[in-house]
Amino acid sequence: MKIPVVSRILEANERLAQENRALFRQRKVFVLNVMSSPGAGKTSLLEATIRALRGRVRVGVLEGDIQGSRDAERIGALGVPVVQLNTGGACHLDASMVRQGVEGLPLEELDLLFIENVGNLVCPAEFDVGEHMKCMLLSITEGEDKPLKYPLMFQASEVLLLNKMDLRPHLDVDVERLREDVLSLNPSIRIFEVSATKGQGIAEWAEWLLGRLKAHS
Amino acid sequence: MHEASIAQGIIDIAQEHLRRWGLREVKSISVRVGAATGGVVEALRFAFDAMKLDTPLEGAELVVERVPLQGQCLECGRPFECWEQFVLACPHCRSPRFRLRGGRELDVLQMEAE
Repeated sequence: MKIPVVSRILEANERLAQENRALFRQRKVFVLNVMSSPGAGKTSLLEATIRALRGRVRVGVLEGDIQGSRDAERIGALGVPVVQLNTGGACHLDASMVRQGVEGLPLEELDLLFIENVGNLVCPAEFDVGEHMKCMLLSITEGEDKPLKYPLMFQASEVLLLNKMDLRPHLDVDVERLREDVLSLNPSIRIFEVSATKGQGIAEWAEWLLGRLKAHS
Repeated sequence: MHEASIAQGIIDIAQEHLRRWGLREVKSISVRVGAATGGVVEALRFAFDAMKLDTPLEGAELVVERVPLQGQCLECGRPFECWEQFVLACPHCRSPRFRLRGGRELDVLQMEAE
């Protein structure tokens, strides 16, 4: 027999994401979903941001990787609560993985939770995990053509950090063109130029993030 | 793209409907995939065929209806459609101001089961 279904395929994820969002609201924690290519510097950015925010807000981290726990060890060395999620090959975190991961974190003792997504410029943008803000990192070594090749992530993000700016003198990258293309895809996106390892631009980004957190709570 | 997650979503939805209707196996299942979702139909079929084994969908055929990306320009007012995943400007007047009208669909429509 024929059965009418008419159901959105990713609806299960959307429902779980809403449940995560409700949990985060109840525990009063502001959640960022940090997305980038592999090697753009997500973990270095988190290390620098955590140092800049030390003593001002209580931070926790959920580390998503296909395999291994190296990133969680780096974050754990800073003395903040961290849980490592291994996706076992999946190219993105989904709401159900995040739900399992946060069960290992003391959410009621946190003000700010960073979810470091799997390094990938495509799939993470499609999956709501219950975050309040999508944050994208692009290192300028990746080239200025990325916005027009991977537009969805630039459109979905509220803030873009251009990382590795300290390398600009050594590169042939057109940062102005890059900014123009990003703004043509997403006119309201906020762009910061930083170097996570050298500390450039981190204070400004951290202040903005604190303001965003206060506006939310 | 994450066709394996989509295939799993299709299988989960089908199993839920089998339970609800008290049926045993799925013969065919129809889905709609919009161009703007980036879903690659060949990869979706491959994932579905691998993941349906040992489920009540083992003998099920996946029927895919593709939907083009559809938009309407806010400058010149003309509608347009194409099979690209992304459109950056109206193909008629090159304005970047347009509204997406279709192409984000990723739905199960119906299934044949017994």
